[in-house]
Amino acid sequence: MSLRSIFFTEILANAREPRTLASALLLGPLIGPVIFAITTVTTLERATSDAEGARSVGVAVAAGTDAENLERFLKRSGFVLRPTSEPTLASVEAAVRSGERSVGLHLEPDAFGFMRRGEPVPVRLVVDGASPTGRRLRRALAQYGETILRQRLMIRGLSPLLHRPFAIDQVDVSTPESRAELLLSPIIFLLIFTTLLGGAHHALDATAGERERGSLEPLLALPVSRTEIVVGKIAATTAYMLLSTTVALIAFSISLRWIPLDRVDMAASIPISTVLGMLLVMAPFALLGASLLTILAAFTRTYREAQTGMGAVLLLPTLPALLAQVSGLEATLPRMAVPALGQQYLLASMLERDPLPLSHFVANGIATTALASLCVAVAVRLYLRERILG
Amino acid sequence: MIEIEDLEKSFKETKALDGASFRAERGKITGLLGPNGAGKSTCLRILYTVMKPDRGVARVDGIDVAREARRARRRLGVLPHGSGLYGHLTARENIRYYGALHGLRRSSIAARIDQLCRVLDLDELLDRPCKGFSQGQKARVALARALIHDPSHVVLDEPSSGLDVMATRRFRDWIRTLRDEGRCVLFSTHLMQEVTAVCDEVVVIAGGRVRAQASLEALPGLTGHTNLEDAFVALTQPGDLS
Repeated sequence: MSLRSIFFTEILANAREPRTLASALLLGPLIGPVIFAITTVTTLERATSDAEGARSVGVAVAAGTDAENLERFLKRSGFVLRPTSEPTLASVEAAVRSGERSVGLHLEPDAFGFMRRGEPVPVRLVVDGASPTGRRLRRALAQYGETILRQRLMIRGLSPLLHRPFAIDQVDVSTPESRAELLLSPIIFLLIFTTLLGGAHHALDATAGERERGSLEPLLALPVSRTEIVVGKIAATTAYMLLSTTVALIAFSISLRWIPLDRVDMAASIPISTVLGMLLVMAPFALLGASLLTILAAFTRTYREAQTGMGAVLLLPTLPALLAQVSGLEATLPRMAVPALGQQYLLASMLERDPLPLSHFVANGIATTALASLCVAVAVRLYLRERILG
Repeated sequence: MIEIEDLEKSFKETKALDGASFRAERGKITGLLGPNGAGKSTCLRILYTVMKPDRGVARVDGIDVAREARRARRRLGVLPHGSGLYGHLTARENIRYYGALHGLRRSSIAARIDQLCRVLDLDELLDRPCKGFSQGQKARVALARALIHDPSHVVLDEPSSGLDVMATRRFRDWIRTLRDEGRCVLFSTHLMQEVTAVCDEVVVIAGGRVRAQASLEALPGLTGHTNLEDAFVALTQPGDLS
């Protein structure tokens, strides 16, 4: 009865507090998905426009280059060849540097002589390393080189297949969902961070804020156990965190519909069943975050002091997830026991529509809940100290 | 009845209470009078169970507050220093919350709020958020909240601090009403006029020790003075009191 009253009063009082609502409903849950959508759409736009642009890329060719077959080949490959005024490497470089051409090509004037002697023709590519056009021209030249090699082998009465000891045929087992994995990985990180941020203000205010306003002392003088008070407050913080996660998941779900992933043969969506599953995975993690923040608030003297330590507490649980993303560690059963890291794997697998085995979910749920319970017990102990009054 | 027996409490090197003992009876207003840092708030905090004494006992109707905190809390209505209201909740929600935590039914809470509303004149305030209330309004709501479970003992820590003259006068009237209803009222103050205006009994505390306990009329006589202020100054001077 007391627990329910504390929980609902905490929820009600903070629902009328603009800062709590802003951090639970606006800051993390909406800004994250909006930034994700904008950056992803921009990246896709650039990638697809680069691919389309390859069909008509301007190439500065040193004047006087006499290689008609090569020129024809390059034109067929979509390059527009524009000779420079001077037949020098310097003028090709100048054309690329000034941005007049996206890539430059300088052939040895005596290319034909090299060819005849069977020696490699010196070719200089002038590229801007930041642009993918140089790589495309290099690939086109390699392709042209292969054509010449095949012709040379045939002239000598040899099979053109001689230079291909392997006949490689690739079978791509990836699905449009799994191909989107790397692109979607920021969602997981943002979700974990959003969850913590969603209840951060409430957690600090419910202890440090109440102490400063003088409402904690009369509360502790009521015939209610400290355990009920702490658990009620932590439960309310957890609810705010999960509310934040829900808003973020819905926002991500909407933003994924808006991002044209099909243009790069990828697919991703967050249906309602996945939203519910993800919330279930995040519930023990939210409890852990709420109790960690309550420990911080109970340990510090003022709200401001608690805010100073909040950065570290918010960052700490996100570190394993960040580590997993950077190092590319495999998802194993023992790793599921690490909070945040386990959530990272489980959420990613749900997003890819290829969920990990049930045992992984159970292991993660038990381990995170056990650690969260330990933190709740620590928070209760801190509430039993007289120092809680400030 | 409230009984304080030989209470000792230290914070690191500072001794806040050094064997304080006194009694506060039902149907009387007992003022705990002392200068700043005398140990008044520490004594009350031990009484309403948010602190534990290093030594000694505090009892409410014979209940040892350290051993049976919950039972003792049910008999106490506490108004600590400052109102401690939830600014985003309305006055009614604040009072109802404490009623629920005292284990009262919704119907009893509603009936009691109506009753307190009449006595403390809360009609206009009940459904407004407490955030914008004046000090006097906050004090009224906080007192109503402390009385929601109809406690037999009321403990107030510096209740009139921050109140203007009119609000202070009204507050004193309510304290007298509480006494007339047969409750034991114990409040701390460092203001002499506060004591002379409402107290039946005075406990003078200084340096963590009770220097004297007597009725308002008898107190000056204990020190050989004719007025309370001189008596108070004499009693709170450092040194042994014989």
